[in-house]
Amino acid sequence: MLERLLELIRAGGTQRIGDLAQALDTSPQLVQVMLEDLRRRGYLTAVDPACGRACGGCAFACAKPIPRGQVWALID
Amino acid sequence: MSHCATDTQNTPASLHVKSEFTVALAGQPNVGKSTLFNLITGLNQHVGNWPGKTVERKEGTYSFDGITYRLVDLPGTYSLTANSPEEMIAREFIIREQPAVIVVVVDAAVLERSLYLVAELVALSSRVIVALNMMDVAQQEGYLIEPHVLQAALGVPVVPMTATRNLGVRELLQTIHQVARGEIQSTPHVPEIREDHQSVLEKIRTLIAEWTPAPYPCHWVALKLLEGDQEITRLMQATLPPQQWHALHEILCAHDDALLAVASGRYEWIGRMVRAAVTRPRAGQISLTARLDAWAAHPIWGLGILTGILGIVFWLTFTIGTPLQDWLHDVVVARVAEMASLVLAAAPVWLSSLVVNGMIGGVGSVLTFLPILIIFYTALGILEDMGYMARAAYVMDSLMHLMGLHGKSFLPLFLGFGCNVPAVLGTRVIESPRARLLTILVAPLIPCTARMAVVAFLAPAFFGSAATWVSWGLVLLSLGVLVLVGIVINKTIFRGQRSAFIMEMPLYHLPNWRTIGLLVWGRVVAFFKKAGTVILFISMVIWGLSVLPTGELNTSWLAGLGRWFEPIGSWMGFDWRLTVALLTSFVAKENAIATLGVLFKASETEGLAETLAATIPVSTALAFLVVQILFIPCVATVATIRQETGSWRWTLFSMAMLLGVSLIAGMITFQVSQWVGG
Repeated sequence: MLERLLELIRAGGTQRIGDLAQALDTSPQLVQVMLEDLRRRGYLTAVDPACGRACGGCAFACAKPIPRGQVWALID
Repeated sequence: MSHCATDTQNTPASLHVKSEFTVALAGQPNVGKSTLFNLITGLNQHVGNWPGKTVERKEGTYSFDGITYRLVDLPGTYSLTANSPEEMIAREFIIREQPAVIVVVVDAAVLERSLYLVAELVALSSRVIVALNMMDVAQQEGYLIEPHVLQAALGVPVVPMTATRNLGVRELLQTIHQVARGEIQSTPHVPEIREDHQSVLEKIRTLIAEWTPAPYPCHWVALKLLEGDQEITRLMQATLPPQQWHALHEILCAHDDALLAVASGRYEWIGRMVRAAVTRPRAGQISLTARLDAWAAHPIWGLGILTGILGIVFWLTFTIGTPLQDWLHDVVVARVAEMASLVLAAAPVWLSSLVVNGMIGGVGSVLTFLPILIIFYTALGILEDMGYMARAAYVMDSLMHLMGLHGKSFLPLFLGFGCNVPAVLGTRVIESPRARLLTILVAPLIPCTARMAVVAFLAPAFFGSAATWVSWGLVLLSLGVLVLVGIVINKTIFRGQRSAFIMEMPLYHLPNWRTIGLLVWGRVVAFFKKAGTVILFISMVIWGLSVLPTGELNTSWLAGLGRWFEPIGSWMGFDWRLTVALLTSFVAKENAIATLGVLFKASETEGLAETLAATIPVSTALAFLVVQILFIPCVATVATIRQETGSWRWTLFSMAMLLGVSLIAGMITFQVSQWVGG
């Protein structure tokens, strides 16, 4: 199942967890667990949309953004 | 050398009459393991360290039905692979100490996450009990879990419980008692490795059978070798004769992808267990999300909804914010300026001018921006908190797919829409140095929210009731630029190469006003801090340069500087004041407003909005907003580009390129709008 998930991801593009779960005939929760596993094994990286201190205190971007849901990127 | 140890250690502990049994308490972190341990052992516990490690070891005793049990709390682990000291300790204890019972605590609310450890434990011992903890949380989340079905599927006892309420603990102790005494004997249903790897596993097993050191189970060692477990590989390298090791090494090298096959087998197993025992009713939030996403995440309808929502955000901002902005100017800023003039009537003229025209004119103009800022960010905060913004990014990405663009263009979009700094930092996931550099160079073309907020302030000042349409058009222009960025990146850098992202779409839910309030409050506080520091300083510098050396604006050093750039500005209809405002926005985007406030003498009789509307022609105003939204990014982004490229040459090239793009777009806008306007 993990290999099939990796195959689906490698097909490219941006995919939603729900769509991957449907393709694997499993629950989104299990897909999420497998994505974390693939991240720990070094196949994926978690993308962090926060800029932290680096944005020089910009009033528009840095004040505690609301989490928007996790994004993972396939490592080339 | 001993023979291969019995695989699942099925010898019932009851065959040896004991007055004390060892029970191991395993589980992932945060599943309530410590709560359960404290509940069972009470004060009869001892805390120390595991031998040779800095990991805490907790051990305690309790009695049940006349028998003393020694309960050992194993460190929290996600699996039994030698990834961390905790995982090593847990598995070494289970293998070497052979506890009479292993209780694995799982979180019923996130069963998929918890069952991976169970999948590893049942392959190691048959004396496993699953403590299905946090049943109350699972029920609150609408999950229907059938423990007896899970028990049948797993092949080991399952005890539902809620440790925080002391529910199910007695039943757990009773089950431990029965398993320890051999009254319950289990045959766990262990996960199987994928079919095409089963023969490899068997081959390894045969190869190591005679040489596996006790008490390691042979089958388990073979699995761990296939998984690439470094500790077990080292152990077998030290144990096997060279010939056998060579043969084993060859097999392992030929199947270095087998770790995925082993893990896949476990996930298939978890999927089966959950399907059998858990029902998640597709009601409420989940079905609502699915219904809404059929529209909001649709590649075509979703785009229409996105543009519509952005239009509504601007309309709301202007409809509510502009009257409040006027009120703030008339009631607060103008009166403060009047009072300051009166108080400073006897002071030198330059001091009065510095305070009234420089400080109040600059910072005051920016502060009247506050109602617009609050409404704009409340609206965006609501969309974010409801879970819509993730769909907005997904829909934009779908648009790029429709246009034949793929993957990597998504990352700067996702990260850059809020702020260009994380967009530049986000390019770190791109491995090719050339591709990374080019992505860094074009990332600032994506409009950040600071630029959009400045547009939200200036659009009603320039265009009055048409501000919604103008802002909406500018956002569409930004999205167009975004697609252009995607095309540039795709054609020049990635040459159609596909990349992959996976997005978690949060469930739609009603906005939490406290969260939104905190977000808006945080941004307003940051805005005030900036108004009181950077913007105040820039306002004073601009005022100083606008009165020195003659005391007249038109003969000032600033006018001289502005006129030096005037030939370029004139292509877009800018006078020198607009050019200077644009230049000061490099420090921070809000400075454009402060500078306009100082140079157009906002605080004297009427507000900045009225002065600008009366002074600046429509075609010039439109060109100014277009240049503003595409101009060189703020100094923080430029510093990040320098840091990430490690080169001043590329940083200056990026600035020159963005300057060129924004000026060309501004000129086209000016010429076209003049032509249209006749």
